[in-house]
Amino acid sequence: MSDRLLKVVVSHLEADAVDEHLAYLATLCPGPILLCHGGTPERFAAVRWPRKRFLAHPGLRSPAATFQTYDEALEAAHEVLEADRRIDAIVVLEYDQVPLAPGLDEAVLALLEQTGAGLVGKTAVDRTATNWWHRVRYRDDPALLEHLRRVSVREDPTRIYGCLGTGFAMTREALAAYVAVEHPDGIYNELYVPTLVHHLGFRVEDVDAHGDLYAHVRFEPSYTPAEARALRDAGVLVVHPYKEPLAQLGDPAAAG
Amino acid sequence: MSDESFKGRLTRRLVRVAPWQRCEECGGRLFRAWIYPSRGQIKVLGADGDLVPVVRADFESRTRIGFRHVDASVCRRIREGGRP
Repeated sequence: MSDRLLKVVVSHLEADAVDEHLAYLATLCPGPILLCHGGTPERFAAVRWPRKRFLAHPGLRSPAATFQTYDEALEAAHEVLEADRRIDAIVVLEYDQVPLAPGLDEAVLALLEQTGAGLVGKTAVDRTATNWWHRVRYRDDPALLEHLRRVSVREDPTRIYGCLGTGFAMTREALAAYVAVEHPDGIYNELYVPTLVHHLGFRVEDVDAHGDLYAHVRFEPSYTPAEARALRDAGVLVVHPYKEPLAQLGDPAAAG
Repeated sequence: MSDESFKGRLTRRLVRVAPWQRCEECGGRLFRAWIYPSRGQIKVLGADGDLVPVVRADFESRTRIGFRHVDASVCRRIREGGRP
């Protein structure tokens, strides 16, 4: 259990599925959890979890991997941290990133402390001079480049970072600096979040360069329940993507 | 049948028989591609497929451009401390 890490869960699912997910997570990884719901207002209203925020940005309803932004979610997380000084950091978990055993919080906090980074994430690296699709499409984006020139403390304000949009963790300080900036609208989150954190003067570190915590966090394909259970039995802490009912993973109270 | 779809089909056929490009750090296969100069650029025909990993391109010497994995989870050398 850790009171020092806020888990920011991003979901768009039906209320029952969301509540089941959060109950599973709270049992397996106790500690503060903020739900950020990007689905319909009706689904959001029906969610019973008390600490919740509706994400209204239309980018979240656009085709996958296009204009999704986490600015609202990160601002909501920052409000939670402002009200609770015990929390040192946040980790953003999309609904299909599923812990399999206790220990995710401690592993994430240890990684932030060990690396001294402001942000750690899956493949969170400098993507300048790569063929990454999002880097290519934003390479000459005037709104992003002008924004970075304005806020960057780095020698080269055109550096572009990227990371997977789930599983990234940020320190309190990096989050505060992030939300203090006025953001251009709708820059894709997998590019914008690590890029801005870098340009605000924080280190961005790749989880995979520091251990195997995210060895089974991948873009696709989805894990089956049998695969997830086998990985749990082998000691794996977390998988992504897992989109099947959580009940098929067994009782989280018995895990670990 | 549009010119574009013909071009796309032709490109896919060409890429299918292109040489494998490898990560200069770990030696692992990256993607099949034909590489050639064109109007001040180096074209990498084949570096945009769905299964192509994210790679970094850089001058490794004054006359040589190398490709490297970006993802440490698939590149042994990055995990061992090599350059991402």
